[in-house]
Amino acid sequence: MSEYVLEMTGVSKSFPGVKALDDVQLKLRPGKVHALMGENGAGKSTLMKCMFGIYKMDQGQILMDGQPVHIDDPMDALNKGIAMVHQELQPIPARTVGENIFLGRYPMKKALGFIPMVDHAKMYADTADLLKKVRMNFDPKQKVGELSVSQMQSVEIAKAVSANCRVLILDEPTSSLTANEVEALFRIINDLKAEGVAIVYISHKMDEILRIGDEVTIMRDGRYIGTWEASELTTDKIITLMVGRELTNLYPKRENVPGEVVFEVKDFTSINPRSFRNVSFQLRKGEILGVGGLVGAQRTELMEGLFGIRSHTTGQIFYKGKEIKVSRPKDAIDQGIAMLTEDRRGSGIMGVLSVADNISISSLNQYLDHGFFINGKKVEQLVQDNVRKMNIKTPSSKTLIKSLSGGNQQKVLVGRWLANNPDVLILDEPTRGIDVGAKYEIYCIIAELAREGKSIIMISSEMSELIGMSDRIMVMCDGRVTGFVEGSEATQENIMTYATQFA
Amino acid sequence: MSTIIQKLKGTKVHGYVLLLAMLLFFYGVFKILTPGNFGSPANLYSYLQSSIIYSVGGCGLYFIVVMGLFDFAVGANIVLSSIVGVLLSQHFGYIGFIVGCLGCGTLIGFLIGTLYNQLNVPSMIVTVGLMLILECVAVIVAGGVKQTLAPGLRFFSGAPGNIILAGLAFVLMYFILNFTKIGTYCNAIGSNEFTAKNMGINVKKYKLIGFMLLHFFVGIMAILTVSYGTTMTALTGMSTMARNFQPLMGTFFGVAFRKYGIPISAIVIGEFIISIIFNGFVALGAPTTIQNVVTGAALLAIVALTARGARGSVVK
Repeated sequence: MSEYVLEMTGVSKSFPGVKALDDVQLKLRPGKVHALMGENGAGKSTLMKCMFGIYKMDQGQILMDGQPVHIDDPMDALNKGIAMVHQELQPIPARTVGENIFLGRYPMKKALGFIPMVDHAKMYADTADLLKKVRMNFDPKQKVGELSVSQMQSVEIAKAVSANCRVLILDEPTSSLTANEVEALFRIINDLKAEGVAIVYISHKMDEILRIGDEVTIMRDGRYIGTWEASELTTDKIITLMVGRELTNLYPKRENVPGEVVFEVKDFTSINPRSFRNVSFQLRKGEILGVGGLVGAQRTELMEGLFGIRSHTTGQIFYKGKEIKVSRPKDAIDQGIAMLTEDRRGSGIMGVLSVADNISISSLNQYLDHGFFINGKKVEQLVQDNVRKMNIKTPSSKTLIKSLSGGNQQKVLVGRWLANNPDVLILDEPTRGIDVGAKYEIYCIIAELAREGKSIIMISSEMSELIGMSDRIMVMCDGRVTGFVEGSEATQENIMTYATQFA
Repeated sequence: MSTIIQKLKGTKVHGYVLLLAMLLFFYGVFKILTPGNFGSPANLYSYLQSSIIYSVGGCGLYFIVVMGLFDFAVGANIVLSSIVGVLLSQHFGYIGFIVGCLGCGTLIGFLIGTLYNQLNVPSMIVTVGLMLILECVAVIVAGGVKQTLAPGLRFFSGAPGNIILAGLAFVLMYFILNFTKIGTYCNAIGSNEFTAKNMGINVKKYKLIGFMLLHFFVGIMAILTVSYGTTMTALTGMSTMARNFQPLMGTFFGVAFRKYGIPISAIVIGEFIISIIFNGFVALGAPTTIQNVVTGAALLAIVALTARGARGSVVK
């Protein structure tokens, strides 16, 4: 009997123009959390998709309990006891929590003794039990589209747990969870460990890895670097192994000097009484204003309101001293305001368009000859500038954006807005799901933009990022601004005090 | 060899090889089955001439299909625009004919686009409603009489007139798709309408433009159709419905081969393949019902095979 529940050895996988995996291995022990780490593009997700049957390996072998197995597709993987919670959530918003959890394996009953029908009563009862088991408290009949991102993620985790898996892959499971939800997840992970489940845990959060991980495998550029006991590693050592060089600073030195007020919001209130209300703040030229708060604080909703995606009832927006009306995104864009949304796949990328089209889409008018014909050379120049500046890994500018890794997609989206040369840049979780090396590059870009006099509003759920990058931090709780903290005085404690004021 | 195949995967060459392979396959099958009365050079030329008419409509439909929209009023507009063109040609010659077809077609596109934007109901419902209305309008405009294009105005009835006009339409389509923001925005709206709106794209405006472009191309198709057939009769009772599908088949080819970067070529070659299948069955003397079943099944199979994403095509 093998000591490993699952082994992947000699795995190679190529895509047109890119060797995504090159002789990679991964060995999972039962009852252990195996952290899988690497920069964006290192091949972590590809390796997991090979394990889960989404991709076919070019070379390599998968063994379960020492016996070779072939995994044809995700359903086959589930049948073999492998479940996966994806980084990018894939729920069916119009269906209920119960239907999402049991999708493809609805409990059945026989009406009149012979007509097969879905046993909804059993499905919802099982869902309620399951949610209780994983310590999540919401209605099994609620539509998933009505849940927050963190709740949707909880549903995905419950779905994976419900499959009675032997191997559970968690790809960035805490990227949108609150501290309490993270703790709840860790309790679930410990329960699963006790039941002998092997867990693959992919995360860029070092503290989580060192806390929850038993073993750590590090990959770089599609290659296997090594596997270590988590207790042997430190944050610095992990980072060095991941990026292949020593990374001395997590945040760049900022040389921006905030000037006069360029953007002011007064008494801004949503049409939804449970959303943001009576929000007032100022933003200075060349300032990085961090926006902190727990999930559900309505930070994203506020920024979407300011950008014209959501409606507001009362309130004023002043830009360079003049009141502006923003009732749709175009109004904001025309004023020189840009917004990078937190939901990269849902409201960021345009999957069937190329990298070039995605970068140039919001600034296309700048690249027209005679106001009508697109100047392909100028667009290509824009793309190449961005590829070089942000180190975007793409085979070509014509590659479809959906073919890129999450981190590279995010860089393309940052490039898209920078192409528009905005004066006010709203960045909603700009480094969500991005590895430590790429994060630093994004921080450098943000710092440089602020130095050039751009005003930046940055929502972040990572406390260290808020403190490390902000000149000032606005903290929200329950739709209201509860306080401002100067960057130099910011601590986790004083931010959390404001963030939990009405919690 | 395998390296070359790997390099060509997903490229335009790959797309063309697939299209030409399908073309040769269907040609070969019917040529073997009915060597005597199918597939001579003269026959092929005839198939090509009829297929380019549908290709023009297929190009127009591409603009809205990529945005996730649909239009059942294409056939009704072909009939109405043809009749308007023929009537105007009686007074103003070629100018009346061309302006009548293109103007009427584009105007109908504007009407459909505006109604779609204002009513906020699915495009399929709007266009079915308008199809019924346009059929009645065509009957009224034609005065219940079959309209015949004067013999002196039939430059577009055959080569080189029809090929020149269709070629100009394809070139126009190519420029719009590749060198103007209309093409990029149409694709962007189809990819993610919500994001497109957040990028500042006026989605309603570009949907309206999409419908107008479609029906401008329908206007060109009307010129070619009435020139080719020389007469046009207005009928009611959804009789124009059948005219929607053949251009749409070409559009399906275009959408399926978009990933290879050759949507227009795919529409043109795809229509030619459909034409070969239709004419092959005619040559075989197969009943219409069998022809339709096999053609429909072949179309589904072709589009399903080509539209399927290459497994594991994601670069991580």
